Amino acid sequence: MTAMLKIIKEVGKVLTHYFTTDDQLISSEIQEILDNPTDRHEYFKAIDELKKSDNPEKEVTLKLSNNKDITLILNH
Amino acid sequence: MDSSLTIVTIVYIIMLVIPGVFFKRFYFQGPFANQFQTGQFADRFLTSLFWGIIVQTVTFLMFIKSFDVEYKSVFDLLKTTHGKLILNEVPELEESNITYIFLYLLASVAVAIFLGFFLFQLVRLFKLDQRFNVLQFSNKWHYYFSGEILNTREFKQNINKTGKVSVTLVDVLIKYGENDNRLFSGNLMHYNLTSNGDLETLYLGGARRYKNSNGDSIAAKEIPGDCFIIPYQNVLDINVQYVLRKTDKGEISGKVKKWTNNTIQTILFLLVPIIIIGPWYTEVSVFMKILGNLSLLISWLFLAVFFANYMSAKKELTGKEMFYALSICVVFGFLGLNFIGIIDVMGYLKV
Repeated sequence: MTAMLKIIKEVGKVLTHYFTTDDQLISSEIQEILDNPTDRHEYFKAIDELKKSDNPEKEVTLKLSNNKDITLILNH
Repeated sequence: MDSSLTIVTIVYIIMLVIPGVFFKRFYFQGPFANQFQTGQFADRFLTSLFWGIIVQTVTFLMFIKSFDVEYKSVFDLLKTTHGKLILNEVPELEESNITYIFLYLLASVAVAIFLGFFLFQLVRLFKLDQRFNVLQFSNKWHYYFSGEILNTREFKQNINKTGKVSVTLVDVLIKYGENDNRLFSGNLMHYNLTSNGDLETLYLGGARRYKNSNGDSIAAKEIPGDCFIIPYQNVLDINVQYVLRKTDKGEISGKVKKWTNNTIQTILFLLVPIIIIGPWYTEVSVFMKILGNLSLLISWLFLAVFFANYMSAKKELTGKEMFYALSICVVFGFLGLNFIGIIDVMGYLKV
């Protein structure tokens, strides 16, 4: 039964993927970062670092509260 | 004005323009919904007429097949009805004909909705609007603010291929009174357009204000709050920067996997119209066609679940659960094909 529920949940995801319009300008990952005060502070620091850098290849890796890493780069 | 001509015009409008309007309503979605109501009346009318003719052609062919009606009898009915309307007479219609006309109108609206929705998804999923100017939507701001402009030919040379756009940073210079300008920076969350398609409002998250303090040094000050709203009428200029999230190793392991993923997605997407429209061209009863439609759609859904998990780096289903999904897909697939008379499961079982 649990397996069936999991499969049905995945069916819902497929339907969402194919039949809804994604017009979000901000990814869910960045939204989560902005919602968390600690991650938000680190995110601002990373953005400042990227903006100030003269190196177009510069990348900054953020260590988030949920122990995930996310590497950001600025498109020059 | 001749009243008979007016009745004929109304009938043509109902039969051609209304399905075209439904098509466009479902073609312009999300950030492009504004385009449905913009533009000159003549332009909107002609495009509705064009799409209405396409919708009517598809519906007519489906209807003829589904109800086993002969072309000649339809043309005879149309000719007689048109002749009566021109003479300002009420056409004599049998009860069954009225039912058919009503069903036909409903079917044409349903086909218009499906075609509009499907073509929009086709254009967006395969980024056709970013590759071909002719398919581009009128809301240019969306392409700039979402970073999709980087996929267009004009901007392609600037694209950084190591990641995808996660957020758009904007620096907005705003006029404050006569001699005072202020610079605000933040993550662009949303924007509004006027009915003419011009920018009306910008919504920034994590907004910061830059102000001069101690001569040349510029200090950023965080603005507390969830959303900072800027009316566009006060904006002098906007600088847009895209922040990319670097793709993790293993997420796309090689071009072959990416190509396979795209191919499977394309095949799955193109199967949708075949599953929905195809059964209506078979020789079975309408009830069996509907059953065939439903079974094949369920089969498609579970096939999509199987492939979505198979191709994903982060698998949500275990091997056993994926096997269940594939089994359901096969069972409903056979059922659907049996309903529309392509295979005969009972016949095979008897043998």
